[in-house]
Amino acid sequence: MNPIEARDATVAAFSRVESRQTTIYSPRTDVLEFDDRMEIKLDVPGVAADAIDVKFEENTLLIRAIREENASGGYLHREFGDAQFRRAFTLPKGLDPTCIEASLRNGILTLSLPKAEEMKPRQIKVSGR
Amino acid sequence: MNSNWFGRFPAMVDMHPAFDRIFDELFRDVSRFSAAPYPPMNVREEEDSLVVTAEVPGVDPESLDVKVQGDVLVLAGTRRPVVEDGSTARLLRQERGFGQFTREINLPVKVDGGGVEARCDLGVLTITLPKAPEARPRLIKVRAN
Repeated sequence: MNPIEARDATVAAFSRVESRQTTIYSPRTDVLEFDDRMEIKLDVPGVAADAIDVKFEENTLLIRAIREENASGGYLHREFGDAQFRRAFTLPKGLDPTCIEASLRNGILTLSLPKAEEMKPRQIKVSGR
Repeated sequence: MNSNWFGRFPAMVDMHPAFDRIFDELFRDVSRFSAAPYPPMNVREEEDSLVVTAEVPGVDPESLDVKVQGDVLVLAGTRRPVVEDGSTARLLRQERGFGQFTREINLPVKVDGGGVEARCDLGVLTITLPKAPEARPRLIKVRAN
């Protein structure tokens, strides 16, 4: 009869799989232009608002978001986990970087960048007789 | 594709919006729905339940449909386009996919289909599936002589 073996090596191998590994993602992003503003929309599922850092420096908009899972383990199958979402955009002239607004809804971060007054479309009246 | 969106701002001339749109649609289908199963999912086992999570950012929780058929979990939903018909917004860059999706996963243990709970938080769907009684761990008492 075979002895019952301690499977410490197997446990250790599992522990390695379970240990925290942060993956760096470039979040999928849509950019929209409206008459009065531009919007940048980024997929950041599972990220809380206080784990998002949006910075504007040297004409570059830097976005960083961190996701940490609460679950302690027990994974049978894993396709996503701890993550750092990072993205940077150079802003064109004509946007007002002092008025950038950020909001989070359903796992999408929306940055709203108002256009400077002179960049907004203007209706020109045609006068005639 | 639109990699330099700044080049199109301010928009003085925009000759081919329709063409861009077709291109975007091709790109989206290839990248989003063919390369990897969507949405990404995790499966965890707890003592009395299985916990399945899925990344569904931007999906209206109302559009999500969760079903258990035997030992298969079916998740279906719709992600709406970022620019809806009638909007005046112009799409300068599009990486996020949209459309309908369905994903099925085989559950490794028997679950109690009637007790399944699902909730959506921060764009992550969490489905808790209680194990069927016969799949739960049983405590075996050791009696001493």
